[in-house]
Amino acid sequence: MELKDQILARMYVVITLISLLPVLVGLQLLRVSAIDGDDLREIVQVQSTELRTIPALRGEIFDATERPLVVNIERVDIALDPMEKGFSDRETEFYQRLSKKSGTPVSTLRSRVRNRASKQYIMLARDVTMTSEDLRWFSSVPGVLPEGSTTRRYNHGSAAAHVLGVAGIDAGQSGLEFEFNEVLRGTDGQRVMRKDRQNRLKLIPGSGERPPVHGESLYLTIDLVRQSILEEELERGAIEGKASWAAAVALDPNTGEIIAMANWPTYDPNRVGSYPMAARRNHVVEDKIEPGSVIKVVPAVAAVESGAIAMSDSIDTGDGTLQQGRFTIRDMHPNGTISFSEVIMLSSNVGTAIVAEDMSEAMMYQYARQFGFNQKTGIELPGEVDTRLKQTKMWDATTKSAMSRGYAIEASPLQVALAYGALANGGLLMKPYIVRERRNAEGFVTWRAQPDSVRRVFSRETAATLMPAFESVVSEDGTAPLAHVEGLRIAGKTGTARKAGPKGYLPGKYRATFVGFWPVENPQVVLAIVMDEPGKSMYGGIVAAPVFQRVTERWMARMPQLAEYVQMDGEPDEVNEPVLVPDAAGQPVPIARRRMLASGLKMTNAKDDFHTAVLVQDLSAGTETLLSVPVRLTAEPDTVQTMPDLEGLSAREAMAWLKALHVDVVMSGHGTVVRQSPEPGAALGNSARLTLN
Amino acid sequence: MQYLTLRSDQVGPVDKYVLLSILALSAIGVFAVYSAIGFLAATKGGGDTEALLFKHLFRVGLALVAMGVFSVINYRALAAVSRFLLIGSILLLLAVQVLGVVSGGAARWLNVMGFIFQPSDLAKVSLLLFVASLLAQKQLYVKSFSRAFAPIFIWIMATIGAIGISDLSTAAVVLTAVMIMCFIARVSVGHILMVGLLGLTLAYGMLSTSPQRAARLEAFVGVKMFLNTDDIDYSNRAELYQSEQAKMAIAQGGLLGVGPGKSVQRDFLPAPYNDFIYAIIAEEYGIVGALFLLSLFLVILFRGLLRVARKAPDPLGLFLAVGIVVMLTMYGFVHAGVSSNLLPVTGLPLPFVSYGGTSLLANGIMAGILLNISRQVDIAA
Repeated sequence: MELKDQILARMYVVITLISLLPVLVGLQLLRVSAIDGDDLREIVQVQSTELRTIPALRGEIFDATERPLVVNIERVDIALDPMEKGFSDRETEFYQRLSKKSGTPVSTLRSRVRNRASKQYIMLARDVTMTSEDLRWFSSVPGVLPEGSTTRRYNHGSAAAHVLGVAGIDAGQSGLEFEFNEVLRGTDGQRVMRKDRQNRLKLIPGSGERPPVHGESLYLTIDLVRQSILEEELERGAIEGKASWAAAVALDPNTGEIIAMANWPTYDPNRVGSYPMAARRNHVVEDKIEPGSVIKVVPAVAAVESGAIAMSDSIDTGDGTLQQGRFTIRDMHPNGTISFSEVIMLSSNVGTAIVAEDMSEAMMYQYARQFGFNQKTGIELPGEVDTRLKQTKMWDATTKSAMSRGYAIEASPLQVALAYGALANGGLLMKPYIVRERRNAEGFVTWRAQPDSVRRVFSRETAATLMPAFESVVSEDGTAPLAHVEGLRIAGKTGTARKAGPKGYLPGKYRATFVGFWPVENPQVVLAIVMDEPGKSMYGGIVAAPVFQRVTERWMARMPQLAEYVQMDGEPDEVNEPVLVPDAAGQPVPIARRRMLASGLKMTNAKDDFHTAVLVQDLSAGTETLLSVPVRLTAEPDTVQTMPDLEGLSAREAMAWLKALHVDVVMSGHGTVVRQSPEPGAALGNSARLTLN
Repeated sequence: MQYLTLRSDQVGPVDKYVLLSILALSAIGVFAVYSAIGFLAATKGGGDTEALLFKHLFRVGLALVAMGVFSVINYRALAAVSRFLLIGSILLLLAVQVLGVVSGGAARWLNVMGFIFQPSDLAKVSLLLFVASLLAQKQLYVKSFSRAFAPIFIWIMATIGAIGISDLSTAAVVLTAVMIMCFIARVSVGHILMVGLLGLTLAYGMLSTSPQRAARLEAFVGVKMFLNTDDIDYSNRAELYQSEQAKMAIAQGGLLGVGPGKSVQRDFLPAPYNDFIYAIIAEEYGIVGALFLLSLFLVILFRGLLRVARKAPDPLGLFLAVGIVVMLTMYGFVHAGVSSNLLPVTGLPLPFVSYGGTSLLANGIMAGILLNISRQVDIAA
């Protein structure tokens, strides 16, 4: 048995040695897990998970009648986990919709899904352009993972540009886009995905997916049509009046709702880079200017409200000059002895100074303060100027008098409009607002504006007492006959102020203002127009009043509620006059739209896309129709094959459109297109020559 | 000539501890492979993980059937033909070098009618059988160099050399197992040390011809040993990546693991279903699960040596049992050592657990032989 013992002994040696290995392995496991564990687990986390942001859709912006002003164009990559529960139920519709959007046939999409490399993930389509609504639909399908970027589209170009502002990649830079950035933006969601060493992704079942909260949409008090009219007329008035800039704001005196707000020069938020910064300034809220004579409503209210004067009281304005300290106050013409009513009608500086003489400084300060010239209006737009009244103890001997004529006091055009809003509504200073409603992505109203007054500035009686005087301003005898509109009673006030520079007043530089409201019987609209450095005339009654008049005339036609206040002597104008339908066949939709609009016609149901051409129009070219009847177009994508008719377009527009069609353009001359090569209707080539005149 | 099978009164029951351990390992293997194979399925199998699982289940079944079959075949009959089996497998190994399917840098497989066949698996079984029978025959003069050691040694080196051409790590483990068998069979320690020295020299020579592999070993040991590795930057290479990922799997698992089928690292470890399945088990079942698995191998080690080998009816059975037990457990422990970054990266499967055809079959045959020996324990005593 010596042999067997030797074998056994050697066996124990072997067992001992081999058993050491698992012991070492066990220690190694503990070492790896306990000592390096945290670092290693960290690396696992980093290499194996990918956080994908589910972007929240930015809210859109609509006008008072829910026309979309600002919309999103989504460029989306669509990935899919076809194993997700619930996908198969909506599969068919999903493929059809995606095929339509991406141009890839359904069969190709299906075979791609069948032959996918990863069981739970396939990138199905890249860079698909769609609306936010489409995107929301795709997001709602289980297993569909849309990812992409949003670009903002300002549907009507420069319309209301200063109100809407501009949004960059994911932040508003100006206007409502900036002011309501947080509301519009919403909150991004997040999805945790697992990835492997070849970067293939898959969903982690039950992983903490946080859905995005989409941004809320804004519904404005602005009316697109009236806004566009105001912009057109403001531009025309500014060019005719040779102003360096012009600003206008219209509001409802009963609620404080902003109806329209315009600035000239303006810009197109879609191409903001190609405009100077000055064009982006919203003078209506960002500028403080000395208002000049339009301020006379303040001393007038103070004098009447305190009983210091009656409208018929006589005031001797003498030869139209008055020496006050080192200043000489002048009227436009010598007026002699006139009533207080006439002081307002004729905007007599001497008469106003005499009335102000009887007022205490405290009273003047108090009324100016009451009218809101010492505080921001609180309008929901960024950059509102902060105006401050000088405390009376800082006043010198002439401050009170100067203030009564609109100097030594500053106001934004919006503040001026609100002050006249108080006169229009019977004494209430309203808080202005521009956002009527906010709605979430599901369409529920999350917030609604409530009209709110800041304070009662003066009594109804005072307003009623003063009204005839301000109405007489817009008469043949007043300073603003050019604001007169046939059949409509309008009250208002002109203003002309010397323009202050850094070192005192600039010689020969003025600001001309007209602010008015109508109808006097039941005021619906206050409209203020300011022109900076008008070259044509320094008087608000000459350069600003005509803009007021033209805007009023055009707006009236769209306000049936005014009918009872309009007294027409002669035949009423035919508003709905017949027009000839232009030929839109073969034209890219945006160009067709432009042609229709130029004829005053609306068109419906066609997507604004340069590659989409009009095939059929329900009213053929040359047909006579009424303005109110929309022209219905049938259009097909990717059908633009012929050169559109560009005659009459501006260089920039023609250029932008041809570029969208990938046509290189050679231009000669300036102005609008008069000749083009290839001719309209010829085959669309790679280049085109335009002659402008 | 021995009887192929024995009469029922000549055999008893199989050793149930060894049997249960093997069945447990196979069961764990099915779960672990199912979890780990998803990436392979997604890459090559058209996404059908279940198809690969059924393939594995079929192979496990085949291995267990082989185990059952060999547990009734008299091991003495196998030993009698082992010389021819060994010669056959050495020829096959050499054939692989000529006809082998080139895969993973070294030719180790033979494609037989669509089945991937690894001759080294057959060679190691044949070698154990043949060397055990030689040791039993020459037991009386086993310490003699010329009469016992030299004739045995020539066969060992021929086989190991044939395996080592393409698969150094398998050669090393098989040589170690065979030498341990020789040690227990009372071969002179001096002779064994000589073989060990020779093996090391041979390995060094092999590595010197392959700078890549040499650099791999140097990178692991951290000591410069070879002259030909100067130009090879080994940092950041695939093996380093593998061992790091394996460590992450262990760390991720912690004490109790992330749970069955929830491995993350299976998507990062290359061949998680095979060379690194122990790391995946450590991740899903934690250190506790990993140690339990090692304990199953320890059961095979203790029970196999102290019960089956010690009580074997004859020296052949004893040596054969030792060889098989040492072979199986060495594979298991070395695989675990590699997966836990204790040993340099090699491509050794975990017996009964890893996904892979011939290795499962060879392990089933060896387990069957071991069980056959265990059935004759009490009869002889």
